[in-house]
Amino acid sequence: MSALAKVGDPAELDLTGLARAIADREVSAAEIVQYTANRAARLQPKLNCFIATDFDRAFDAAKRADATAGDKRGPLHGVPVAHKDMYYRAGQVATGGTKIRRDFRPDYTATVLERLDHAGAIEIGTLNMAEFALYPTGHNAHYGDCRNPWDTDRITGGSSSGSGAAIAARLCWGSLGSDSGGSVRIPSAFCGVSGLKPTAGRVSRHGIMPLAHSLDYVGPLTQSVRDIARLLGVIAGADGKDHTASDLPVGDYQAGLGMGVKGLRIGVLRRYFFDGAGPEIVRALDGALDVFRGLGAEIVELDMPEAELCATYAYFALFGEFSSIHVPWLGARLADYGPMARNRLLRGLAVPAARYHEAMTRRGPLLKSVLDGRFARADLLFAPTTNLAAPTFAEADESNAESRALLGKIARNTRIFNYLGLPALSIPCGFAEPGLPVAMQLVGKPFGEARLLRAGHAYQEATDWHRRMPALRTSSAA
Amino acid sequence: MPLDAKLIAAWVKAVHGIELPEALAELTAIEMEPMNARALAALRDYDIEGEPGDFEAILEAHAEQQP
Repeated sequence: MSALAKVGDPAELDLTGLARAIADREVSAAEIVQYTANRAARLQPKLNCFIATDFDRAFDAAKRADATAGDKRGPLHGVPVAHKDMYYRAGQVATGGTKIRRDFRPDYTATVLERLDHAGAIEIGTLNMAEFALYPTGHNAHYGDCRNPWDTDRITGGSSSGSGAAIAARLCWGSLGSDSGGSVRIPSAFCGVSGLKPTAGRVSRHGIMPLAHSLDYVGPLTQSVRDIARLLGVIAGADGKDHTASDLPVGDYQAGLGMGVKGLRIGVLRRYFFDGAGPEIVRALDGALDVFRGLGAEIVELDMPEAELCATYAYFALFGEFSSIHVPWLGARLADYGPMARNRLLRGLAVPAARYHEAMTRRGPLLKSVLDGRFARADLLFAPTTNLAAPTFAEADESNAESRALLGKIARNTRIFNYLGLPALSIPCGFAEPGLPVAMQLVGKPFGEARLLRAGHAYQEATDWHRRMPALRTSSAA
Repeated sequence: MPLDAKLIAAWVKAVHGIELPEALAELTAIEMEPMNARALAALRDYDIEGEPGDFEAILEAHAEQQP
């Protein structure tokens, strides 16, 4: 019997399960890297998840991992991972999904990559993304569009497009995306995987390509919530190289996962967040609430009157910041941007400084209003991650007013929590026709990742949406 | 007063030295109009004065204890 046969199909294991199988020596890291290389050779032409792969280097790392004694192994020992192509590793190209940085080689390594290396993860390549992480689809004018494994005619969501698609297609077991307005949660939702935007300051941002400094977050995408708990425990915590990283202690996120949701108050945000959601989305979300109720949680209906204003200020902050970063290139290399990136950057130049300043000064008081008001009645907030399922590439290409309006809807439920700095978890909770994933968003109090993950894990213990594997169909070929 | 696309394009050119194409200027005006109105209303209707550094302090002060 081959080693792989002992663990069954590795694609059916989540990160935690695979790490356990490697630790128990049921399968070797080298065998898993070989399996992944074979799978990538088959699926990359359909999905275009990767911007680059380096399986030779991954094999070398896997052989070293297999030769390492058990007591020297970390929590991710031998597990293949890949990240959005904006995490810096000294001497290696980090394109940021753009032609402008096609040859950019940083001379230092991101803190989170160092931490993943130390935990034993094996990086197999770099993942596709929206150019400069600027928009919430899977389009990329320079490296090709990344395609949704549930229907390759549809977008993955973005900007962490490759991360969402690669986890859904089981081409790696853990991935770091980045989230400045929903860029982890949106591809998680559209691709049917789990994704977390942590609290502001929970994870160091040293060594990642900046988009909007007040709204940028490093976040993991995985199959399951327990995988996120494992990854977050590795990457979270203070960092002398990033003064915005918090000194608050990091909890043992895995230890509390089994505590359940009995007695937990979940506040459902209907107004604003469900506006425009189709009946299948509402049905899936209501079904998720029934599951939580059945597990002993108390469901309370809430309004969040701050929502519209937070979304407004998030827009001014996001567009104002990313455009100001790009002003030198917009002047010198405008033609080198793809159309979607260029359009957003130019529009951001119109954000007035007064509105930007208002967004920054009102951020604290609005956060306090949400904490004192909404979180007085609930331990977690609940809403759809997006109130639509993945659109087709043509529907989301920004070529007409209808398409632009659709794009505006994609991040309306997510960017609010970038502005408020609160942790937000997206997990799959059903499907809409024609077989597209639907996701819920759970939002916690500051540094409340442990409770958030505990609730998400309880839900996933009671359901199997997160275990469903996409069939890689192409609807236009049907 | 509604936002004027031509004024926006002229302002971007004057401030940044970069041309904002007419179609994008119109889109910007349409997109920004309701948000600008909301921000103006907030200045009038809400007592939400603060300092830029308040945010981080409030976040840490409300940090959830690990269960």
